Amino acid sequence: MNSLNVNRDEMDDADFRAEFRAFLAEHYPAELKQDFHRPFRRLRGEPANDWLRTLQAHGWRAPAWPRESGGMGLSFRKQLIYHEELEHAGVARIIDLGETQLGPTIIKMGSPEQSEHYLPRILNCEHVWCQGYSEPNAGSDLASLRTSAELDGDEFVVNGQKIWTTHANDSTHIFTLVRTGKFEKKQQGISFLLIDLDTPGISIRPIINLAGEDEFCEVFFENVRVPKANLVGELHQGWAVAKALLGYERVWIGSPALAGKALALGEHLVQQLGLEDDRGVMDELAQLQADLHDYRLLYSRTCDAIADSGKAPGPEVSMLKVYASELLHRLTEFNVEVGAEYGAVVGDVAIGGDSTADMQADLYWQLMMARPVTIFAGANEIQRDILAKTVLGLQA
Amino acid sequence: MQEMDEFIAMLRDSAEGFLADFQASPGAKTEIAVPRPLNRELWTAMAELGWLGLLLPESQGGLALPVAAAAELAEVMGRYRFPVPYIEAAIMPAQILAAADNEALAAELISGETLFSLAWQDRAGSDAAFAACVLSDGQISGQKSFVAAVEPGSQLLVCVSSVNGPAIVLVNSDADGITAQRSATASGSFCQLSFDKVACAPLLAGPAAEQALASALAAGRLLASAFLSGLSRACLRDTVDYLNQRQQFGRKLSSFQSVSHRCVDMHIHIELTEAVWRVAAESGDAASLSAAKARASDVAQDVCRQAVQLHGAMGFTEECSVGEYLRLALQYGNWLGSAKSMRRAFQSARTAEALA
Repeated sequence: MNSLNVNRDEMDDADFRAEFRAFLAEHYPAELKQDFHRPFRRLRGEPANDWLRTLQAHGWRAPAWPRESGGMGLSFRKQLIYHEELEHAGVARIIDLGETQLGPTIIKMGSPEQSEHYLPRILNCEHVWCQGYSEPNAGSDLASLRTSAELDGDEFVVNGQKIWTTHANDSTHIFTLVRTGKFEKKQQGISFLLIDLDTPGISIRPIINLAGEDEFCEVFFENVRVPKANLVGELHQGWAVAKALLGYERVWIGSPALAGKALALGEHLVQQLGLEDDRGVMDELAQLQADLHDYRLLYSRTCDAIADSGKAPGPEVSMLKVYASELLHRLTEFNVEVGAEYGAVVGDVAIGGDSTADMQADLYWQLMMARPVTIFAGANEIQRDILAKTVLGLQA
Repeated sequence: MQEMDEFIAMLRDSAEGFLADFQASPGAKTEIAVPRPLNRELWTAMAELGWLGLLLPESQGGLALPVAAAAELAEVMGRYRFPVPYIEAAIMPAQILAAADNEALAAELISGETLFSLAWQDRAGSDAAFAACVLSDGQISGQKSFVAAVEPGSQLLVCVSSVNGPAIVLVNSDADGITAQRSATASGSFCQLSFDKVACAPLLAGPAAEQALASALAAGRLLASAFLSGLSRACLRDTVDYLNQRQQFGRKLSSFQSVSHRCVDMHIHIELTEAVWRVAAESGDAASLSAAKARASDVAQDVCRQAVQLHGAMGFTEECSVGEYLRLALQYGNWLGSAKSMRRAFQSARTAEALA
């Protein structure tokens, strides 16, 4: 297994891209690719774990983790290429929070014992993690969270409720922000705690979303006893632990990949319905095409600047999340509108038209799946507050 | 590469000083609906800085810089809302003279002693340039629209058609047989020119003439995009400063979300603009250039109009500088391709790329 030992970060960018492209072409299952039925397809459960294990077996897993932790140790620039190739190949997204969030957090803030225990289990999918941050009364205002963890001997006793926990029903573990103390500043007294979902006292209730999927859940904690050793970082300092990765999260959420899929659907629809001579439709499409074209350039310019600086992304990356998510809204709305009556269909439909072959698409699903992107990871209104204050210097 | 980066940094630096001094001078204020004559003293000073011959080859006495460097200069000019037709009278004519390989004329342009103007456009909203004026027996007759920076004694570079195809010829703006109808713009004027059997000298003919015009238009569009990008940024900065000072209801205006969120959106759009024109400057590809001009035209006009609203009643007056920004945004946002026409050009170029 030479491919496991090779340091791909040392490869030439073009070679790296070519090798990953070839790997994806050979190994990624065609039936799981994104298509007009599911342009933003996500994998979860066993198909997701199977694919992650395939990546792991060939040394393509955990691009951002250091090599000594079992990852690929890729520079930020190579990570961008990695993501571009996933997009190019139509690989479905996987919300693998163990890899993207918890792993880097443990590597940065965790103890050596935590690294040794958790990291390999993330990589081989023995542990599948979900994120327990939001609560019914702490969404964008996350620091108001109230789920409590009281120390009792060598254990925390956790009580409370999390909500909007994506894929909790497919996960084995949850990393949480819990209140361990009350201080003047509400960001203080929050701790970062790892919890096994098999622990007695935990119940999970899936919530059906507007796309008809049970992607997120409520998670209830009733006198759940968690070993003290599961605390990551210092007691009461969980806010800083969680915040350390927020910038990167906004960079990846800002990726133009989803918008690219939505535009491809729109362009195909225009063709299928024979609207190429409709100047109004074509002008609207030109606006969206130009918006995505320009946004891709801004995205790579911003990412290049981060790569060149060697520093973590600053608050300016909030603008990526804002623009990309709202562009996704506009694209999916365009697709419904040009679909005319097809836009009224809830679910799959064969879209006939001038071309001989029908086109299978689900215009409802793509519209609905675009909705939460402006809400999660800090609603766009909050991102604008951040940008106004920190980037533009507008005074409160 | 690094040498060029350093050179550009120096160029921007020296431009900042020069333009800040100009902006503080009494002649900087523009007037409404009055054609602004080109300030020859200022033009000579720009010549001394090397700005007029920035893009001309060294063999013609120029600095032979890439067009990206000139775009950087235009971006700084935009930040200082510089009301001088640099793109019209220096950059675009220089592209024609470079193609014509005419050393004597290039020297006159570089020194600033002669003013040049490119009379290319046949009609509004179109790139057609070789149909409205006809060359026959060494004389031209016909019309040219929206000719910018025509001054007394200017040398006009006129795009015409001849029996041998397209051509560019040289005519003095004072020559007999020329009538001009002048309209004011923010930084100068447009002329509608009529030619009635005006004697001319040949400069370029055939595909070379078309290529020269294409490169003049491309350079003009790139610099206009960069100028608008800088203009938008400065207009937003001034607006933010105002919002941070002005108080109503016992609060700073900047503290209202309905106000601050609009500023954030403008900021994002300006960042998009800058990303696109910089890529267009380096790649030179047609799709990116059209996208840059479309974006810059839209954003600059939007930012400047919103600045009127955000300054309140003060924004509707000539007491503050918002009007000067907005007039320049109108000028460069609608000349050389409006946002809509440039987006259409972008769409065509993109479709052509996809098919190729």
